[in-house]
This record gives sequence, structure tokens and C-alpha cells, in this order.
Amino acid sequence: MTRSHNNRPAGDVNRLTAVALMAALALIFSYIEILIPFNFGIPGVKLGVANLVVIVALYYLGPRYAFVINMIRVAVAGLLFTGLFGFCYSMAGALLSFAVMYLIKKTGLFSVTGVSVCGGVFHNLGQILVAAVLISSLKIFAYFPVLIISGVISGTIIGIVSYLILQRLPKRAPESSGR
Amino acid sequence: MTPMFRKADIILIAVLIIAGFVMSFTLAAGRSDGTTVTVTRDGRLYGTYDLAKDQTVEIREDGGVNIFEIKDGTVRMIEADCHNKDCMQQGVISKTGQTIVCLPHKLVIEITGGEQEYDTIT
Repeated sequence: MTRSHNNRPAGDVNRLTAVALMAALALIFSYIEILIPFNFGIPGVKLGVANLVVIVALYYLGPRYAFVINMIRVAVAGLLFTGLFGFCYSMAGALLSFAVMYLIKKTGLFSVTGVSVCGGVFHNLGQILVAAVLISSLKIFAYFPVLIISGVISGTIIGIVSYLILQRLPKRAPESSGR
Repeated sequence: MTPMFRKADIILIAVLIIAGFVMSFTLAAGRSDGTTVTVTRDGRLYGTYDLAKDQTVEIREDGGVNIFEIKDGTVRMIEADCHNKDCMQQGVISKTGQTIVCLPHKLVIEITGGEQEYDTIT
């Protein structure tokens, strides 16, 4: 018997639901961070709670899903909260940090904490690069040392929380097969 | 699942923290009191102001307003009509190479002049 249209494998629906759910969660975290900035009076410093969702997705569902979740979050947050310039900053941060996190994870040398730390630092680097282009000045790189340290601290916190979440999730993701 | 921290993670964190501190100390080292305030807007020179002369400067361009104050050899952003007011949070600057940046208005206020003027990054 051939499979009909309305008899698609349950895995597809599960994966779609997981992506939608996590993208929504990441978006809410982005919004919370806009409402309550954890910047301690230093511009550009943030905790990056949304990256929590991306990292959990990266480990639990696989890089493709994590990437899609991240892109949905940035696009929708740009439309809803941050505007065009905010979108440019978050997109640069998201793309660079995701690429680096993916590569660092692939080396197999680091735990989720190391991956998260790299994500935090390279997110900040991506944003500072966009800022340098937008103001046509390299002077902004004077903030980079501060943003490295803040990226390491926030990345470590997010990494530890991601680790604790991943430990508590059921062993197998819903039919995701880690693609 | 791997542990929370592996050896490579600890090394990575240590290296990044040290790099951050070394970079900030290198940037801070050899800085002397500046003599001039240089304002750049969108990559182009907007104006230079004498750091020794107390004054309030208003920059009004494309509907954006920034007001900075030069007082006792220091510069501080006292007014900005952007939404985040990051430039006002950046505090007081007085040493050569220090900057206040207003991203929405593409404005860079930099202290120039003084004895040593090297900046390792720029």
C-alpha cells in the first residue's frame, strides 16, 4: 500500500513542532532581554539568553534545526522589536556565533560550555564588525576587550545552564535523528 | 554526554580572559591626557574642539541631536535623542585615544593630541 498525503510520517510533524516551539521560546527570550537588559551599564554587554535555546537545539535536534530556529528568531525579533539596524546587528552576531559554535562543536574537543563561550565572544565580534561598518570607524574596536570578557562570562553561564537542560531532556529527540 | 567542563574548555576560557585583559591594558597603557576633542560623523571629520576650553557642543544632524560637554579637560555626553542612550552611559573620557561612540547617529568623539598617540588596534 502506498502512503497517502495525510499519512505523513509522525517525525515530520514532531520536528516541525519542535522547531516552532523553540523558535517561539528563543523569541520570547530575546524580548525579555530587551525588556530587562543585563548590561550592567556597559553598552553592548548582554547575557544572550536566546542563545540558550539555540545551543540546546544544536545538541538536541542538530545544526540544521538550530540554524533555522536562530534565523526565525532574528528575523521575527527584527520585525517586531529591534528594527532594521537592530536586525543587522543581531543577524551578524547570530551568523558569526552560529558558524563558530558549529565548528567548535565539530572538533569534538569542547563541551557545551566551550561551545557557548565561543558563541558569546563571536556574537560580540559580529556586532562590533557591523558597528564599525555602520559608523565607518575602527575606533569602536576599543570596546572589544571588554566585550571578549563579557562574552566569556555570559557564554559560561549560558553553557552551564544549557548543560543542565540537556541532561534533563529525554535521551532521544522526537524522531529528529540529529540531522 | 561530555562533562560540563573539559580541559579544552578551561584552556579556552583562560586564554580568552587573558587576551581580553592584555588587550585592555595595552590600550590603556601609554595614554596621556589629550589636548583636542575630535568629532567624526559617518567616517568624516565633523569638527575639532580644544579640550582645555570648557564648553558645551551641540551636534544636530539629520534630526539627531547629541550634546557633549567639555569640562576640566574631560568630555561627557550629556544629551542624546537616540532610543538607547548608550553614548551617555559611556562616561567621562580625558586620555588620548579614548572614545565615546553614538551608534545610531554614527558619531565618534575621540580625544587626540597629547604626548604618546599610539593605539594598538586602530
